[in-house]
Amino acid sequence: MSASEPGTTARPEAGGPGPAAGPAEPPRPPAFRGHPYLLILAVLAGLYLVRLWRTEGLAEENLFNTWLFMSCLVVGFWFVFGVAGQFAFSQAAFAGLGAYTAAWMTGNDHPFELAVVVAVLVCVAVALVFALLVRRAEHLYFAIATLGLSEVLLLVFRSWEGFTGGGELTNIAPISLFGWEVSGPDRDQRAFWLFLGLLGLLLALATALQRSPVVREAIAVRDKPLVAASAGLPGVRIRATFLALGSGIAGLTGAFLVHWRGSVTTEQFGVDLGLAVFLMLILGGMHSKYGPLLGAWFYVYVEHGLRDSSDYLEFLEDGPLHGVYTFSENLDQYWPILYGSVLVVVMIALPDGLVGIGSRLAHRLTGAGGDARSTGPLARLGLTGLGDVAARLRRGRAAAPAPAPDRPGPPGAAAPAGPDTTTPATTDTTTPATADTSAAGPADEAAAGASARAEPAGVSSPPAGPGSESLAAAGGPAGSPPAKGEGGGSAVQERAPAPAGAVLTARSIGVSFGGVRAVDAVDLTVGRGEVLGLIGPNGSGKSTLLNAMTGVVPAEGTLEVAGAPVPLGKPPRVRRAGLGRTYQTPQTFTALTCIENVLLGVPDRRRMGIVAGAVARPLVLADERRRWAAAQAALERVGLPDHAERPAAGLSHRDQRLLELARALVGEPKVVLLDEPSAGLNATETEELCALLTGLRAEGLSLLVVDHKIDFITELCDRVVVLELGRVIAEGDPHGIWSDQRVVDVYLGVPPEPADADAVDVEAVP
Amino acid sequence: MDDAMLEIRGASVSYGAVRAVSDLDLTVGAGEVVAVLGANGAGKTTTLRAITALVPYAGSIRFDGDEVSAVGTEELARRGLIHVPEGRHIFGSLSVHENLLMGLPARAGRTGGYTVDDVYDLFPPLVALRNRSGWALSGGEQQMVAVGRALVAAPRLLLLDEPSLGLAPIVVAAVYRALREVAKTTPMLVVEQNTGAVLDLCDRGVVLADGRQVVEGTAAELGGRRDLLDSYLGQRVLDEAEA
Amino acid sequence: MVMEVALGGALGAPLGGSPAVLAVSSKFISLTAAGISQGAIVALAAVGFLLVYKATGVVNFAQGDLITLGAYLALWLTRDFDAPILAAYAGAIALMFLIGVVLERVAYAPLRGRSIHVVVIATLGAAIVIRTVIALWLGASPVALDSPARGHLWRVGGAAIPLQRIVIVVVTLLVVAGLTWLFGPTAFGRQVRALAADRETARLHGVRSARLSMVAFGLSAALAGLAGVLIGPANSSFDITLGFSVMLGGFAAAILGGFGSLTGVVIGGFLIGLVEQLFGGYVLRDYRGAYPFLLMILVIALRPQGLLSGRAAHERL
Repeated sequence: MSASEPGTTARPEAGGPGPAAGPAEPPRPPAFRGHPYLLILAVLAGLYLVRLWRTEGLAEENLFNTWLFMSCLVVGFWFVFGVAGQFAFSQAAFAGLGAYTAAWMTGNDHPFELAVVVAVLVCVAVALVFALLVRRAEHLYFAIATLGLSEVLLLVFRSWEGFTGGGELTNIAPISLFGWEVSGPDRDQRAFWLFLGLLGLLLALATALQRSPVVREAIAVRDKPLVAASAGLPGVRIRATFLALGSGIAGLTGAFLVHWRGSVTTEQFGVDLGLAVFLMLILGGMHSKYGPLLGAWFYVYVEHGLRDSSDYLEFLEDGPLHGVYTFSENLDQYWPILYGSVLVVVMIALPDGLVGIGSRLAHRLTGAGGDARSTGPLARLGLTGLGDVAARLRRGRAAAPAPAPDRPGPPGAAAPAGPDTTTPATTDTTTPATADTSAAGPADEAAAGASARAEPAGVSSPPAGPGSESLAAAGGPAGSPPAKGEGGGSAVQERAPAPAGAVLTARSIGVSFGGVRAVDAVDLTVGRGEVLGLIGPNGSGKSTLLNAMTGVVPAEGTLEVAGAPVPLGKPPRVRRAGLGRTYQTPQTFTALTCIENVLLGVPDRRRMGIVAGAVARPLVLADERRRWAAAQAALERVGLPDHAERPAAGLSHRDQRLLELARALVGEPKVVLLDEPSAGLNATETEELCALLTGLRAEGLSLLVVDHKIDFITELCDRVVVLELGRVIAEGDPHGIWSDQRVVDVYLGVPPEPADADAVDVEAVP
Repeated sequence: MDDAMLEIRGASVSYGAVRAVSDLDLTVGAGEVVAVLGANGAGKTTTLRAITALVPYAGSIRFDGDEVSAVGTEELARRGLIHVPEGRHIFGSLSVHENLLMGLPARAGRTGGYTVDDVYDLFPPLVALRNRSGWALSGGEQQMVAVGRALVAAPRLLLLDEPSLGLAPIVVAAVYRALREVAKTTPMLVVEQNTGAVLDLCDRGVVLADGRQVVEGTAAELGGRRDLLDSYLGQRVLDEAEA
Repeated sequence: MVMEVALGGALGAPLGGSPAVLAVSSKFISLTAAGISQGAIVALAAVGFLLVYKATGVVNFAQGDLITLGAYLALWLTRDFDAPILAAYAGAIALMFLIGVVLERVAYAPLRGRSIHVVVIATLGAAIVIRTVIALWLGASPVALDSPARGHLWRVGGAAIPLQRIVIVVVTLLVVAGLTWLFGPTAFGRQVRALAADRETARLHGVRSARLSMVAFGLSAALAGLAGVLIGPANSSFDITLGFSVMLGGFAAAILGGFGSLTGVVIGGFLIGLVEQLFGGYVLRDYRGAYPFLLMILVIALRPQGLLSGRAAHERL
């Protein structure tokens, strides 16, 4: 990257050799501020007090320990589903795998400590192999595959005599950690300490990872996998890592469980427990690491409470229900009805679980309009889940800022919204939600539906919608528009010479959706420091061409970036080669803060994994400081210097566009593809954007700009290519191109030829 | 206009903070063909989506005197308000013939209008494609199917969203020739960027910019095309190019 | 909870834990017959949830428990009302239709437009509720359902095949043929496919989406009922887990077939039955219940679009 010219915006140097900007150490990234671990200690202390206060007798103590144990298991699942969004039913089966592995080890006279380690390793290994096998499975396929895996594991537990004794094992040695045994008269007391410690460790691990890059990347991969891939994130690896982490924790808790209980049966780890794990996480709140604690409390104690409520039910039987219904003797039989119903009700009415209620209350109490994720006392205690919750609440209600881009001519890329967009809306997080909820019933639902299915359309889903950005194949030569390169003299004819030292060279790019040839053998070059404009009417294939070059739609052709060939169809590769992009409908990650959005684009991927995030904190901090400085510099470069710690959810349209640009810039691209950057911006904002982009060009960056605004294109671009029906029909100087009759025609539409009756025969219509 | 089939009074549509349509007034009377023109993002598509109750709106939109949000998308179609969406949205897994038959649910017992055979007469190229899957069609073929599918529903008012989108001129000509035929019997509201084509079709038109109506006039009045081009291409257009 | 009942259990045993030494060919024949009938069962379970999937894009994880419920409803009608067995079957299937409609209203309609995760979890909740209601109402201990074909055997080449299995195969093929017709040239099928392909555009053409999705859920539950009354008697006894493992096999079959095509799922079902019985009959018998799922995971790994289908089946995923 070339140094900034003296004339352009002063900014701290980001990508230079020195890691830090200036002598003063940059501030700690917010993820490294505050004392979230204090909250964990407080929670643990609270648990201890509750136990002192409420728990008497063996049964109660046992129940309390079960609660803690379940919490541990579900915290593991929180990593899998809550953070990485993976629909896995296998958590219970992995607990079983850990349990039987550890029991086999101790049964063969290995020490318990070793047994636990081996159990965890076995689970991690199986999870990794499984995750790699099903790496291409999404959503339902993944869910079903994990169900299948569970069945296979359960069958192994039942059938492999040598390993599991046919499923039923008794007389398993007690837990013994370096001489400290969970046995004898104060067995339950010790088990309590053990599980409390385990829970503390897991929560601390969760906190550490939330404060390292890995969780933010997992959230990005979860929420918008294609955009994340285009930003360079290794989606498969991240998903596999989190499945392995959660499964390893399941194995760990399973190993402790069997040695605590002293016996094990296969049924304990059946699908029922798998579902229960889901229930606990969802009921507690899947977006907070404390959710599992609440969900497990409900699961363990409400079932128990039901068992104890026979007096009340007898009253019902003698009174209002006399002769109508007799309750079952075993009241806990009713339990699954309750929790099944709760599952449905929670899904309908309470998508953020019990923690969600708490956080809404907290928001109301503190009156905090802002997002608790990164500011405020709650955040300093590490209640980062709350930010996610708030963001989800906003997203959940219909379609907040993203309008239905499903149909092109996007209403959202629409309408410079006048005064609305000029005032930064970032301080106000509640307005969009309320505005949406006030909207009418059925129509509201329609909007929600539209936006739900519209989500991937922003990056154009190939087979499903030939409608978006589709065009005529212009098949036979008969009906095709003027072939490129010939005909129609004028300014356009003097094609600007392809600049020497092309940064981007695309040859014969073609994309077909079903029978529609959306892009047809397009050649493009962008020179170093050049701004190439790409214009054409709606549906002429501009966005599809960008999607083809960045690898998110299948395409043919070849691509070279700075002379090196880049394979099509692999977004992270394209990104690493130096091709950044923005989207027609801004694609930001609303569950993250602004700077986290930008950090996703940082190419430096040192120590991004789970192990480093958990163990090598000082090193990660140093890396994060460097990345943070680069991201902050990128934010400053696009004119959002104060936005770092604001949630991306509340941004104005303009700021979302700038944020995307910052995410592209931080990757130190050689060329950035901008898809309608001025859409939705008013005149002033468009001029500011133009100035910003001109400044970037002055720094040596190349740009490929798709846009509709003639002033913007004329002022910004060195050269313009006109696309129509997926082909290049004209190319030239931005001032001259508008007087080309073909260009005027394609924009206004050529008036229909006088109709001779059968001008349209089968051959002529492609 | 007393016999207005569609009457829009002060309608606005917002997506979050972005206002896509502002305070729009528009009527379409029986037997009338009205064009809505404007640049990308001027709010044309959103207007149509509000008319068929696909997006919530403020203000009033009435079809046959009933507020459309109360009637609902599906029932509006059955009453004869047929919306051909932007990008055609052919059912990809259905054949051409089946796509045309999908006009029948909305016909809901109305007689007259086009039968499936009439549509094949109107678009002869479709005959040979009868059994081809929707997703294997070219853009022009898709547009014919989309218009044909709508005609089979015996529309009382036809809403067309950019029927020329992404089509080669010769295909646009064919589609519009068919639409002129249809317009003899069916009122229409046509959203279009292709001014040349649509002004030949419509009786009058309105031009939207930034979600507001900026120009209104008969087709002849709108024939002076330069200011239309201005409205398409940006704020201050072509001064350099013309110089 | 015991999960081994249906797939690997009563049906899976290739007719004869009898110590009699079977000729190689008769073992092969009986294994093949067992595989085909098991495949038919799996396919019957799978077409039920495919129906809903095709109409609404939702995979109903409660389908297995609906199958169980169908069997128990028939049992209830024969036991408590002394209904003739075929009338009890018909009654159970009719009741199941209504239950499907209710399920759509209660657990699915309120969630339309929400993420796929949310809907799937709600159907899981419904599954748990259904299963528990059965247990409370008719008990969790094993029961047996009668059938006109019960006890009859069909002897071929030294192997004896229970008539019930043949009934299952025949009914499954008839059902699939019927569904293929229903989804093909009928107006209903066209509208359902249109709805699945492009919900909004279908609504713009007057397709009553809410009514169609209720009908689809109803039909799907009725199919589950049919599966229940056929599969129930094929086991010497069954309990409330009857449907669950059958449904798991159905999922595997659907994935093998490419999730969406009826023909694909039937072939997938037979493939699963045959792999489990034939392969499992000779190699590592104790683990043969795992073969369908290992095959499924392999297919997901190597050919996620399914063994048979081109592009169409994958459209919605």
